[in-house]
Amino acid sequence: MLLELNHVTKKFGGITALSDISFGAESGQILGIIGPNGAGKTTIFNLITGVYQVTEGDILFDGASIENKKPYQITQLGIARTFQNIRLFTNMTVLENILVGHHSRMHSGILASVIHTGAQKKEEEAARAKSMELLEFLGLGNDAERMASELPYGKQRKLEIARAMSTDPRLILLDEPAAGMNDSETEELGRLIQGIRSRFHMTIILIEHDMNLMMHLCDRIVVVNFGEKLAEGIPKEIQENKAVIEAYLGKGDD
Amino acid sequence: MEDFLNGYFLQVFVFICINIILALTVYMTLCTGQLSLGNAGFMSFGAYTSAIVTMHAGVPMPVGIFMGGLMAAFIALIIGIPTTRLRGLYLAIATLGFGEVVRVVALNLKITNGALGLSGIPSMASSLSDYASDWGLLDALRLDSQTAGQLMMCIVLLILVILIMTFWVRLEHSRIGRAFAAIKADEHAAELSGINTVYYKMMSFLFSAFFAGIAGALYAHATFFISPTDFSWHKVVDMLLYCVFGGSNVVWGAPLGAAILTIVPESLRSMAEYRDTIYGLMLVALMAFRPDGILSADVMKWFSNHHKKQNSRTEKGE
Repeated sequence: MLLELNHVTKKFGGITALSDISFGAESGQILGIIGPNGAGKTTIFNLITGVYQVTEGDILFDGASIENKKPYQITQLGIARTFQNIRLFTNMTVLENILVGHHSRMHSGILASVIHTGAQKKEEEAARAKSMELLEFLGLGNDAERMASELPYGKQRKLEIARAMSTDPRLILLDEPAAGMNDSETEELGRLIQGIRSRFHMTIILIEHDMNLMMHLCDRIVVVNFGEKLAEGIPKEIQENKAVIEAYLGKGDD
Repeated sequence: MEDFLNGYFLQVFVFICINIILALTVYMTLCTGQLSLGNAGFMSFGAYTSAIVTMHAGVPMPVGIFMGGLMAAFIALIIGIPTTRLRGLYLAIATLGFGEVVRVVALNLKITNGALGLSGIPSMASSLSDYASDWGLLDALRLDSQTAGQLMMCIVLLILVILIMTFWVRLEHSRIGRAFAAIKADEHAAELSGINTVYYKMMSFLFSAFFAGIAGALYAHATFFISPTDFSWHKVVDMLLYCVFGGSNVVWGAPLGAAILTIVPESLRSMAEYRDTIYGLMLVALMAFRPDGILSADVMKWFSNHHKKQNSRTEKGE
């Protein structure tokens, strides 16, 4: 297991946002998390990335607990993420956004940066070349010098994924990457996510509401409802699971 | 030439340089999205430290000035531990409070001579003119020792400003500068992109304090007299205005704003009663028409594109 959640509970004051959640992601897997709005899906991401600390239980990445690690340390360990509402660095160009992602894999300190030593120049060039490669992969090659804020919506989503990928992660968490996309864009995104796995060998966990996409893309799916794990299995099992159908059609609510 | 080298012009130039450094210190913290208003406090640490060690301990002036910067940075390290965790207005209020605390402490300490202030601080101009006469420059340039000293001080300060600007511009064009800009744009996203935000916010805070300390020390050696009122919150407002007026999103905004807002009040001296009104109207007009300051990112982009075009034209031999 690359990532393992063991009986994770998260409470905010008196409110239990997640209770006793356990699941894991194997290396090379595409794991989907689905569930109604407010079920706690993004909270799971926030726990994995260290934005929140778990109340009970623990999270293991590559066998080691990530407890008390700061978000930037977790990124350095090899977990990257995107955000549900796009959070690009709008004051920078597309390329610079990607270069920021490289930050934790670069080493130049203050002195090297100011003097522009040979090693620093080499490092910058290597990071730029790698960034361009990544942008080409995502079809953003021609937009490298544009301001991130000038990009159309679909490309901003892609840039978010590119920035996460540029931190050189082993595990990448995508929070509703298809939100606001039309069918053909969603289809393209699906191919892209498969490309991330096959070409960059990253493990992917994604939250998404587009069932069609999830059923095609994911190796396994975890269903969360009201902060609890409702079901886990391969897409076919989830499709036929009574509890899941109930949760989605709202039978349990009335 | 003779007219231009009068003491008044040279003095104004000295203040422009010091104000540019101060404006840059505000810009440095703004680079990481921190609105820190404690720079008058750091400035006074620099000024008093350098004044005291040069007067009482006989420390050479350049060493004293450097010590002033270090002292300010050291204080920034202590107060930065709590304050770099604050955001937006909370940071502004906390640092403003710090500045006032420093002023009141300086007002009551014996070593700072309280409200009377320190006088007889070694003059940078006269020590530079001593060098000049040793090297025989005075005779060669046919200048009196006072003018020569002031002129040399202008040159030294100009070089210092250029060095600090170069330092910061180069830092901005590196992974550290990108980390600063990322934190300014979205601190949360920056942290999740692998940037130790506390570390980089602290770094910009320390650099800002260090150079504010240097500026304070230079101020002490330029005016030979300092008192706590020189470092009140008025000073902070001035620094902030320089930076915002010139354009707080680009590094060139700070020197431009500092230069304009130092020269304008001086040139309005003849119409004393309207001076503040005109100054105020100017600020209001700028904020109405160019809320980002004179130089914004768009303007800088236009400049660099223009520059590129011209370069390609000359290459083509046009």
